[in-house]
Amino acid sequence: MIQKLASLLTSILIVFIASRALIRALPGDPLDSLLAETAVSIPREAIAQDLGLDLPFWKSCSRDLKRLLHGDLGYSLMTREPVFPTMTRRLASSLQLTFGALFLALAIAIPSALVAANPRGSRFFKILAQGLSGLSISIPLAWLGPILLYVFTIVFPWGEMRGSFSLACIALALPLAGNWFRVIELRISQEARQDYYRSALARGLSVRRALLKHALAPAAGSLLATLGSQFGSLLAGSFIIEWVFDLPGMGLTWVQATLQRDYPMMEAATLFGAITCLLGVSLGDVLQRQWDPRQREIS
Amino acid sequence: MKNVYRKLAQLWLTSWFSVALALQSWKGAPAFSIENALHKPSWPDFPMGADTYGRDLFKLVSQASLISVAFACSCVVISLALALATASLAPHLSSRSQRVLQSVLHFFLAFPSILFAFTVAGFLGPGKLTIAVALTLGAAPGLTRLLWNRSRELAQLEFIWAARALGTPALGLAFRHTLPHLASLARVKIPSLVVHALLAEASLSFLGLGFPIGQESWGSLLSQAKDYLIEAPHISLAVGIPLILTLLSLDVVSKATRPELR
Repeated sequence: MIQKLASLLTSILIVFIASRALIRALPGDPLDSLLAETAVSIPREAIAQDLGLDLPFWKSCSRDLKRLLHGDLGYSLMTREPVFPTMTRRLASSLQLTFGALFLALAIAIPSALVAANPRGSRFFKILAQGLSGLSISIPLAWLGPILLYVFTIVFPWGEMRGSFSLACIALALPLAGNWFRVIELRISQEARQDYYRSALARGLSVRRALLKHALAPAAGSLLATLGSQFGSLLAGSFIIEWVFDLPGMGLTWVQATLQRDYPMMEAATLFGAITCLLGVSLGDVLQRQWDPRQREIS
Repeated sequence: MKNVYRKLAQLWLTSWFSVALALQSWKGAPAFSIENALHKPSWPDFPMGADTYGRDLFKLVSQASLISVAFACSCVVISLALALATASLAPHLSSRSQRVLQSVLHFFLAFPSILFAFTVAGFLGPGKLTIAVALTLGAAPGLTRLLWNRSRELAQLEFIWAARALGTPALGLAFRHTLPHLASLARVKIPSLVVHALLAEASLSFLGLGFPIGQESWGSLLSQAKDYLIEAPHISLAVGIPLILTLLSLDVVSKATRPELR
């Protein structure tokens, strides 16, 4: 456990140093291109001091690390807002969207996977569900989001939908549900071929109980770990949806900062995004261990 | 029944891409004409309508699809080469370097390709190189882990032991004895890798981090479709439906080549 925590902290430190190092690895002077491409009115020396470019690399890194521990990541070059509170607010709104979509997707995926994985279940439902999941995986979010927006604002104008949080959640959840249906169905039907599943049925358990306790439960540990490792791509999906629905989350902030060369904002976004991904993976591992005693005995 | 789907998928892929190639060599690049901007679909001049610059969408989308697929395939080839080289060499290294490699791999596995794309784009600026780096960094680690699991099993087999006993150096063990056995597993993964690469390219160009306007890919056309959704919904359909059909076909093909997914 302590080892895990240490490796997590090391990874975060590596990401932090990498996010600071990139600006120095650029060919040429980043400040020249910044001043040439954008209309920043801040004097050059002040920006250099802000970014720590007036100090040697390790000194500026340790200075920034100390500031980070006090919740200070500098000021945005464009809006002069403090970066840390802005970023936490944006990340919170992205996480809200991500978790909303995740719960919706799992609420669709788990029951339908249970029904489809039943070896004696209906063949029609199985084929239908597999077809739908294949279709939903193949629809890019960049197309689905605008189309849903179009359908629910122009074709069926059921109220003000632009920037609507629930529609954004649904758009993000649909491909996720397809993907998770596939993963869960595969694992459950593997378990349902095991002897303990058949003996559970032979002891007279109902199919529903057998599927829940002898197929889903043993598979759930590894599913939780997969969910954790997929958390990064989940967050990535929410970035696209934010761009479509104009939701002020991390994705929107990050794209804007990138296009405006707002370096402090970009460094902070890299750091926040990476930490979220790393935490997702670790959380998945911890949950798997808590759920599945077989995993605990190994280490 | 499964065979029918696979045939349909192959039919779509071959017909769409051969028509696209034929259109390319026959008529060249689609012409700009402002008076036809946002033209509705009409036979025979504009079978799918026209975009904001009055270009014929059928020609434009087929050109963009060729560019996107070529780009996705080259990224897949690069990540395959990287993953194959790493995975075939890894089990023959010292256990200490294996541990280091393992932790590097774990580190990269935590991040999706879009995160790399944002980070690289922040410093290199938006462009093709940015998404190429992002797609490779996004795909290679997962593939490496998969292939490494297999090569670890292979390293315990007799023919590898025999080769090592005969004094074959690590490079020889890796590339002469391990690599050929990984190739079949890698080949099976190609269609799903192309699906992921196409999706990632589309989302990144959609966000404005990839292909510049004027050199259209599926992603940049999707972003145009979003901007003109209300005035010209036909752009969205003309761009989206071939893309979805292509991705769906590749998905069906990849399922057919992977027995564990039935």
